Amino acid sequence: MATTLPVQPNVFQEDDFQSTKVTFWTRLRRHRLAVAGFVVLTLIVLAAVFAKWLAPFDPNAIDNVHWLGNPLPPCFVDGSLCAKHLLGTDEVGRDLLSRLLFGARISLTVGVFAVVMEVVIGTFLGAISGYYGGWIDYVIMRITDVFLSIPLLPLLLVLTAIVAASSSKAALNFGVIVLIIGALSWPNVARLVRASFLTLREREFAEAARALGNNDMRIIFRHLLPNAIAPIIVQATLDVANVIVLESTLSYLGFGIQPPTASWGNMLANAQATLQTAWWAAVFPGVGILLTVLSINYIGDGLRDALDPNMR
Amino acid sequence: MVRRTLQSIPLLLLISFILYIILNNAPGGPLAPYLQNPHITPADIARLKANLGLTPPAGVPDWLWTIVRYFKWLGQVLQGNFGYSTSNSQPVMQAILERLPATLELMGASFILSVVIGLAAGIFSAIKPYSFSDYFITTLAFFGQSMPVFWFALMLQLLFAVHGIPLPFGYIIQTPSAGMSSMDAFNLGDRLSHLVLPVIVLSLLSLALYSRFMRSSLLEVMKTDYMRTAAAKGLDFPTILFKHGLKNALIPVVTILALSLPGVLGGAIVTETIFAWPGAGRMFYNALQQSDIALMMGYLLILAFFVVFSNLLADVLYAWLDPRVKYD
Repeated sequence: MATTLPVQPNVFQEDDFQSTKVTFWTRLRRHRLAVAGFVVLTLIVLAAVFAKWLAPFDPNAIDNVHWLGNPLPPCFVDGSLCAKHLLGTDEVGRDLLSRLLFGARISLTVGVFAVVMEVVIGTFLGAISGYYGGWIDYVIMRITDVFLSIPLLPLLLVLTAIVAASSSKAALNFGVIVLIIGALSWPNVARLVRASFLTLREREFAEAARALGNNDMRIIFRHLLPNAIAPIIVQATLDVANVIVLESTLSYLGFGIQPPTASWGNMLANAQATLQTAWWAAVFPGVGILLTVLSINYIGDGLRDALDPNMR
Repeated sequence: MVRRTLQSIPLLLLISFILYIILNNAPGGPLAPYLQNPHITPADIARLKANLGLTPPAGVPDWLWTIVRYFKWLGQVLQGNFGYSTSNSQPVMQAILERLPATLELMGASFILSVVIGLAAGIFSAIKPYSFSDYFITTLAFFGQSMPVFWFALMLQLLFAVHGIPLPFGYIIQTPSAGMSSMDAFNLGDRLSHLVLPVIVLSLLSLALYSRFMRSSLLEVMKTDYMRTAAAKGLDFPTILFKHGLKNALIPVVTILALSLPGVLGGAIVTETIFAWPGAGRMFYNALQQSDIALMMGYLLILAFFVVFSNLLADVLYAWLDPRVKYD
C-alpha cells in the first residue's frame, strides 16, 4: 500500500464527537444508495414473506384453459390476458408472477441461512484461532488455506453433483444446498475474525477480563467478540448477496434447487429454451436477482462506511 | 522467494488429500457413474470394486485403505497420470490438454479487454472523484458486480443473437452465440465474431473489479505528499498523473490482477456452458452430469494449482514492482 501521512486537513467531522450509535445511523442515512437499497430489499422481503397471499396462482399450477403450448405473453404485450397473467406464463403455462414471488423466498432464505451457518462456523473457528494461537491457529489456518485455494463455484458444483449422483437430483433440496454452501464459505469469515482477535487479545480489557478469572470461552464470546462484530456484519451482508448469486448459478446449471420448486435460477434455465419466442420468461427472474443482489451490495457498502470509515 | 515456493508444496498436497478424501467417501464414490446404470448389477459393482482396488485386503479397515489408496493415486499423479475420464473415454490429462487452448483463447481475450477498459475507467473515475462521470462509472461497476453472469449472457443472446440490434440504414448488429466458429472453412472474421459475446460476458466481473480497485488505489495515491510536491514543482498534469501517480497506484492493482486470474478460470465454466464454447470449463460441466470423478478431481487440482501459482506470482510481482517490500 502507498503510504499516507497521518495528519491531513479536515480529519474531524462533526459526528466524530457524538456517541457511536448516533454516528452509525447518521452515517448510514447519509449513504443514499444504501437507504434506497434498504427500501427495495424491504419490498422484496415483504413480497417473499406474503408470497402465498400475493401470488394470484399456485406457482406450480398449469393454466389449462388459456395455455395452448406456447408461453403466454405478459399483460403489456397482449392486453387480452391482463386479468389472468400479469407477467405472462412460462413454457408449460405456469403463472410467471407467482413463480417469481415464490422464487424470491428460495433466494432470500438460502442466502440468509447459508450465511448464518457460515458466520457461526467462521466466527467460532476464527475466534479460537486468533485467541489461542499456536498449533490450533496453525491447523485452522491451513484448513482455510485449502478452501481458499479452490474456487468456490467448481467446488460447490462437484459436491452437489456427487450428492445428485449418489441418489438422484431430487436429493438436492433446500437444506442440502444451504448446508453445502454454508460448510464451504466460512474461511473468509474465519480469516477476518482471527485478524481482529490477534490484536484484541493483547488489549488491556482482555487482560482485565483474564485477571478477573473469567474462563476462556467467556472472554472470547462476551468480552472480545462484541469488539470484532463490525467487520463480520459487513462481510455477512455482502456474502448474502454472493450466496444468492451462487444459488441461482447452481440452480441455473441444474445442480441447485430442483424443479418443480421455483427458484430464479432454474426459471432462467427453463427460459433459455424459449428465448426466441418468450423474452419475458428470461428477463423477469434475472431482474429479480439483480435488484436483490444490487440492493444488498449497496446496503453492505453503506454499512462499511457507517461502521468504520477506515475499513476500506 | 524460494521458501515461499517450497511452502506451497505441502499446501498442494493437503488440497489433493482433502479433495481425494471428500470425493472418495462421497456416497457412491468413484463408482458413482455405474450405480445409476440399470444394466449394471450389484455383482458387477462388486467385481468392479475388486478390480479397481477399492476393496481393502482382509483385516485392513476402510479408512486406512482410503489413505493407502491416496498415496498410490498420488504416485501416479506425480507421473502425470490423473486417471481415466469415463465421460470422454480418454485419459484425464489428455482430455484437459485438448480443451485448454480454447479456454485460454477466451480467457486471454477477456483479460486484455478487462485490463484495458477496467483500468482506463478506474483512472478516469479517480481523476475527478465524485463528479458525474465518476458516479456513472462506479454505478456501472456495482451493476457489473451484482449481475449474475449467466443472466447477463442470456440477455446478450436475446439482444444480439435472437433479435439483433437494428441500426439506421437497415443494418442489424447480430453476432453468433454458440461455438467457436461456423461450419465453413477457417475464417478469421468468423472466429472473431464468435468470440464477441463470450468475451464480453467473461469480462464483466473482472472489469467491475479492476475499475473499482484502480479507482481506490489511485485516489489513495492522489492524497500523498509526493503528489503535492510534484504539483508544487509546477509539473503538468499528465506527468504528475502518469509518472508519479500511476506508477505507484498500479502496484497493488497488478497483484489484484494476478490474484483474480483463477476466478476468471472458474467463471469460464458458466460462460463456456452457455455459449457452447468447446473449452475445459464446458468439459468439466459435462463431467459433473456424468459423475466422472476422475475428471472432476483433475480439473479441481489444476484450478488449485493455478490459484497457488497466481498467489506466488502476485507476491513476486509485488516485491519486484515495489522495492520497499522485501521478503526474506
